[in-house]
Amino acid sequence: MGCRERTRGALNIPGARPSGIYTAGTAQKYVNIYGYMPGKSVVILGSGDIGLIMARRLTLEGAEVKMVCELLPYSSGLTRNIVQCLDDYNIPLRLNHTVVAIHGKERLEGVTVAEVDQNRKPILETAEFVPCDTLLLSVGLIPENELSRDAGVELDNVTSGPVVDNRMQTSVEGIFACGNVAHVHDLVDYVSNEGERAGESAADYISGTYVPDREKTIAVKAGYGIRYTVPQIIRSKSLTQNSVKIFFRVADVYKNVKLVVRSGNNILVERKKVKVTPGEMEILELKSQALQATKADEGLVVELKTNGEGQ
Amino acid sequence: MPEMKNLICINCPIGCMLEVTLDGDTINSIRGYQCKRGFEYARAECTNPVRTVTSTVKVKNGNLSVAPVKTEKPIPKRLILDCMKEINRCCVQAPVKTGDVIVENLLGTGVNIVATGSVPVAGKQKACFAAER
Repeated sequence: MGCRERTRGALNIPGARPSGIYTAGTAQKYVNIYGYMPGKSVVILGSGDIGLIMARRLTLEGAEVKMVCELLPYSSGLTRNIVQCLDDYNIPLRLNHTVVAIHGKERLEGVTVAEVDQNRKPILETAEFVPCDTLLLSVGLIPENELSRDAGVELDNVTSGPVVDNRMQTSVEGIFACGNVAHVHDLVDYVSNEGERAGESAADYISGTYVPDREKTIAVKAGYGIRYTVPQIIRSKSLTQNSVKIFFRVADVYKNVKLVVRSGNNILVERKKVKVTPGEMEILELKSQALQATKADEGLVVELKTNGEGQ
Repeated sequence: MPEMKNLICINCPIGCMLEVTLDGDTINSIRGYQCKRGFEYARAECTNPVRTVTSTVKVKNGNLSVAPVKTEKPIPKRLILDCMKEINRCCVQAPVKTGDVIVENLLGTGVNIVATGSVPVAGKQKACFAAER
């Protein structure tokens, strides 16, 4: 299992159903693995990293990338990719814009692009026809968890992945999860790292050196400004290292904030940040010592503190 | 005649908006950075911007029709399109191994284009990145 790209079906864009509409990952596979070009003039919907990278890749291979439309007022991709994939090639990034209609019968002939208001509803007066033969969708990933569900693994509503503990074990003893099936990552290095930790835990479990302790568990909750955390549970007896890393995403773009992990009123870690965005995963490291003193019934809360000038 | 350039710093998620005034090739001022790295980035971008180019080359008789390649080191940004022309002109015989030099001394820059993945001869064994998928 892993993640599936969100498709046109998941977006409900009205209009005809011509060929020429691909997810960014599919287009990437065609170009990079098979050496096929998906089209000649391209519009990209969504500013995810794969979409941005494909904007550059297709431009270099001779296609004309007309624009990248992003529904939100900020890009979900990394700044590095905006600069090196769009700005370098003068590809416009249209924030607060979306595709509202698809035209063409056999092959895509164009899309209608419109600006959206604060409620993300298209403003019809701004609608504009953009001719193109290809539309790439780079609008996020959905973790695939049919197997986990069938196995009775408890899932997290926000990540759509299994609830895991600090050793990447799910709610079912002996089942471990990692990578994009647990939560969507932005950098592959984090995926590899998480995979190593899950593998190590599973090996220890099989050899009997790791006996999951079901009793002393500390719940990790996402507080103000935080969308989710991984792990969602810490089993303090099963700590192998001197520290535990908590991975999380913020819910919006904020400036001049503090990221805090607390237990009751006791602050365990805090870190100042000039800017945080949902597109970049955040990490806070907790010392195991601090955790030993944490009462299981109080749990941990990860939260964001603003200076009253959040965005 | 002073010229104004606007850049976005890529060193961290803050993405400072940088403003550089140039007089030909001389930098008059750099504004908008919040740390030293931003200053350095603006300077490098205005004097000698470089990029690593990643692409694919045609492969003959391989179990895939293209092999992934990149420039071994970043090359000057203005050469990117010429670099693509060189890459597109190339055609290599399978097998291709990770690290193989595909183009030596690209456009006189001293930088090689190297393979970043392997493509075995058709029908022999799985391509390494096909197995990793």
